Amino acid sequence: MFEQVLYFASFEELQKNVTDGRYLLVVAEKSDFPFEMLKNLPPLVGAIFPRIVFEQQSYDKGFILAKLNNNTSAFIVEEMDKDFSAQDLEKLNSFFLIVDGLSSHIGSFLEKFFEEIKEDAKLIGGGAGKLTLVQESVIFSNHFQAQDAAIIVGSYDYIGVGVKHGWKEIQGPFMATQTQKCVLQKINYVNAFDFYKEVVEKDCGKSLREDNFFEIAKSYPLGISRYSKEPVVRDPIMTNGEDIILVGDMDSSSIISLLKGDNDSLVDAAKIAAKNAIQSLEKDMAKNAVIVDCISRFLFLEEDFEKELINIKTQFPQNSQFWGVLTLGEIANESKENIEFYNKTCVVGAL
Amino acid sequence: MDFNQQLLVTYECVNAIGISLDKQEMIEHFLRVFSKKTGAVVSAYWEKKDSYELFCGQGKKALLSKIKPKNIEDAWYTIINDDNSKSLFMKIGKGMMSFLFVQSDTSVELIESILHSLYTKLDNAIMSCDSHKKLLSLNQDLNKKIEEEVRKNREKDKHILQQSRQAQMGEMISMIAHQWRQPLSAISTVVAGLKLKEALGKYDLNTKEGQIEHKKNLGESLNKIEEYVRFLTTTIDDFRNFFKPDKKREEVYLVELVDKTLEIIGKALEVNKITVHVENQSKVKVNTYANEVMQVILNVLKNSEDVFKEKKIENAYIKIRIKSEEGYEKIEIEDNAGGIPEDIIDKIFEPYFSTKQEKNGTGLGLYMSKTIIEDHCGGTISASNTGKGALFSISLKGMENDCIINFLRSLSLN
Repeated sequence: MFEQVLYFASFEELQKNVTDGRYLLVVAEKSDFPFEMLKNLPPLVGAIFPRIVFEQQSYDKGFILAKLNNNTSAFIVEEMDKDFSAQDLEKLNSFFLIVDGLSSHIGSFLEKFFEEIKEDAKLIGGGAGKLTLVQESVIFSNHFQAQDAAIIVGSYDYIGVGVKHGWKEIQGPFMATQTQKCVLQKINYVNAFDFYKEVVEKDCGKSLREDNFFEIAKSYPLGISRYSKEPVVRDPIMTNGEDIILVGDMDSSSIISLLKGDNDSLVDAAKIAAKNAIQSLEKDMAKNAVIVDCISRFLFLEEDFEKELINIKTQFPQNSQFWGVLTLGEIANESKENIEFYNKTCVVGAL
Repeated sequence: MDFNQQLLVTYECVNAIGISLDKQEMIEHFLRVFSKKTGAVVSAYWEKKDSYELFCGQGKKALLSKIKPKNIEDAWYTIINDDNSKSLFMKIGKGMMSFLFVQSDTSVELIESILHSLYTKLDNAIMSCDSHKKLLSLNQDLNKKIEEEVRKNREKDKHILQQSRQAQMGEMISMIAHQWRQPLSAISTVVAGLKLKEALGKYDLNTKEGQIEHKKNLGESLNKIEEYVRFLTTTIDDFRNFFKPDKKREEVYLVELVDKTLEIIGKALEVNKITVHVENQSKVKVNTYANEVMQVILNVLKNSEDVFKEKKIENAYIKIRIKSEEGYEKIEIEDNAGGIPEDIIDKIFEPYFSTKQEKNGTGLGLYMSKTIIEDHCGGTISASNTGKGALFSISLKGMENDCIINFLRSLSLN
């Protein structure tokens, strides 16, 4: 999919070293990013993420420029809520998908996309955006920026995918009795915040308020039950004192539970995801180890996040290039299940 | 295997059934939730026509061929595909629901047991959607039929109105003839008198006295002719105004409407020796469509006239009373023409009901009268017998009532 991947600390450095080709550019949120200068660069599509990962380091400033190989093409879906068509979508074997992580159309877009792709196609990807959690035009090409947009990088190459989060159920099951896309309004028929506050306070012993919600809620995500599989994690990021805003949709009547993790279980999960990615790659050895990891795992693990990166890197051959993005929501499909938009989850791609 | 998890997933899938009476919406939602919860890579609902055709689906389209039902009559069956994936088929509603799983045999068996547990509810929900669609279709047919009947009724009403107008025109021409006979005859008499005097050489035009007398006589005769012509003109204006449909209500005394009507039909009644007595006890105006009320009064009077002529009744009379009663202004028209037979008195306001079919009666006069008074003017019209004849009673809301109510309202507001 990618033939060369480079990290640049500054845009000037990137400008100096870029060569001809077609690129995917990922930008860390705090970078000095002169969008208008992109028109002077070779054709590219790109997105802004809270942090980017290169080798065993994560950065809040900097640029990763990934050159697409000849088997790969990339395009932008400017409006995720509209129908889209892409050439040879049903023939491609793998995808790297980037969506506007704060769009309310992610669920329906992923379902539409999943319907069109090949029987055994695999994909990884994640939600772009900034830690301010304010929706902005974070998807771009050389000539325009957009929100509610998506990037599809598709390739004839085969990839391996591993997904694991490591969060464990501590209370539940409950029922999400009223939801509106990514807004959780009622749990067990009462205001979602009141219910969540009661169960979280019991475990953490702290008072949960609107002003410290993100800080405490990052340790207590919600899990949507699935049959014989890990629950899909939903990250509660904001509240208005009644409803809870999640990263990603939740259907009404979903059976949910309160999750909790510890650093060891999360770091171990990342290792399993990496192993699964390597094992599921049937042809060739991986040249790229690509991590799509949730920004809130980084915030939760703090110093231990480096352990997670090392755990992943060590599963791959020495000469493979290790890079990735820290996202607002993760996307993965190993072709053996329905497509999902995850939160607080580690997705590893062997490319 | 986690039975608790199986139970929760079952519960969630059961909740996804019957969320809409639109079959496609309902099944799509169910397939979506079921696939997400159980991990089906693709799922679909097929309807049986010549062969199974896709009704709706969820998941990878590229895999649809693996779950397209074969013409197997079994209600449930599973096929293991070359890649070891399993296609599960379930006959339900009038179609087949199918899923593709890549899980182990045990897992698929358990998923199948989840489907068994919710089968009846899902089957009922699909049948409800089908029934709802049929009901909607029936309702649409019914609406179309109602619209068609309403259209036919409107056509019929138009036809009735047209017939009624034509009948009224005929009656009017007859009334104009009566009205004009006397002045035309008078004009003719004056002209004949002039001619006779001229022929007899009644005036000696060679003398000054003769010239003055001739001039005086000619002047008087011309004045008379002018007066009769003016009367004829007034009559024509009255008739023309009468035929103009009122667009606006106006405030009038009912006695004014009675008087105007008698100006039109009075002469005809007089010719047929029918005496008309008018007794006015009302000092309250009504706010109504004057010409249309006059048409009704005229119609009732004309009916009386017809009966008098038919029965050749001596000392024929029509009494018209105008009075106020409990906030309403009433016109009572009573005759001594023998009354309305009791067996038809309830039918006289129905359309096309006439006792004078052989005498060019349309059967529309009283029907139109009732429509005008009750539907258009908001009043009532009724008929009864007095012993000597018929009594028609027209009742319209008086303005005094409004004034009092308005006055009381203004007091309470202040």
